[in-house]
Amino acid sequence: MAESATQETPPPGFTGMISDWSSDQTTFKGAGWGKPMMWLFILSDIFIFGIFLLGYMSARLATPDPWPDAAEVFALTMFGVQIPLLLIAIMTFILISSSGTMALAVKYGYERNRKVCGRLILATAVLGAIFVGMQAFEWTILIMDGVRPWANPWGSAQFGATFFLITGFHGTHVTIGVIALLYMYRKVMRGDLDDGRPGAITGRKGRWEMVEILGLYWHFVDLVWVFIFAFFYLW
Amino acid sequence: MSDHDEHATMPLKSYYWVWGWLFVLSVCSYIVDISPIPQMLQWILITFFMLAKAGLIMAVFMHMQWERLSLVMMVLVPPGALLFALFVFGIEGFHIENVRETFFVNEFFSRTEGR
Repeated sequence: MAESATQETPPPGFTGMISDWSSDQTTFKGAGWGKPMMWLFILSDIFIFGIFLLGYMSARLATPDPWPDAAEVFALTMFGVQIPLLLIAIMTFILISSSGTMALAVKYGYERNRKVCGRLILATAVLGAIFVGMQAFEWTILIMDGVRPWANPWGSAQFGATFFLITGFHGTHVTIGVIALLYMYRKVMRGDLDDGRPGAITGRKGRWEMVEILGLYWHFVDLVWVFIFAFFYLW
Repeated sequence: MSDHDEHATMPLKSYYWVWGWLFVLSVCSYIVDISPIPQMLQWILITFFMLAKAGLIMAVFMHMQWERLSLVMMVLVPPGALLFALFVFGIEGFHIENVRETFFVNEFFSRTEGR
């Protein structure tokens, strides 16, 4: 590996950044290749979600029709009282909690605590699955209310198109994440990461860094939800 | 993996602390959304809470505060282009809305009135 060529500790801070980028070697010192690759993927995904949200902003700014009020559209009636955004609020808390369990899973992964790490990964997967389930429920309610990508009963027609695109794309990310988490749960519990057992898909040897890399993806999914929650549901 | 050891020493308490703050900030933005304060103030507060949550997740949960600046900058600088796009699309959006108000909405109303 290239890391062996850079034994001495590189300087920190801004000077370190300059020397990293101009070192004519691996730029991301001490980070292996998996983590920077996941960060690069996340960077590209930031742009995808970024242009979706920008497209949503453009559509919302450009339409002369009133934009449907999210607080009313996503309200749920519980015990005879209409609570605005109830389902979305619960979904937000579930996704934040899944991010918390994932962060702890990564921590216990560093400590090579196989059992606790595996259980926390499973908990994360379960919370993610609950999130997707609630999203399916939310979609069902809206579709039954008559929301379509081209029309809705409350106002600007672009609402449905942006809603289904943005939340659908995010939900796809969560679903892929849940599948990856379940796969990682099996690997962790079987001891693949301790034994360096080759994976079934890529044949790469199991490393504990994999938990952290998957964690980065999962936290990113939560991060995107923070922005969707603010821009789509609260604005 | 030697640089990872310092993560492991981060006490359990700070994870719960961040977790708790994410809850608190979410509740705050929800309260701001349903309380009857001026829309502009709502938007500013919601954006502030959003950025605070994003910062916490990236810095602590995604371990960015322990990464070298080269990696941090690789992730944080390019999305700055989105801010430029935000500016340009913002101007364009207002412009198109104006054009539609002027030429479509009024025309539509005058046509329906004449009928």
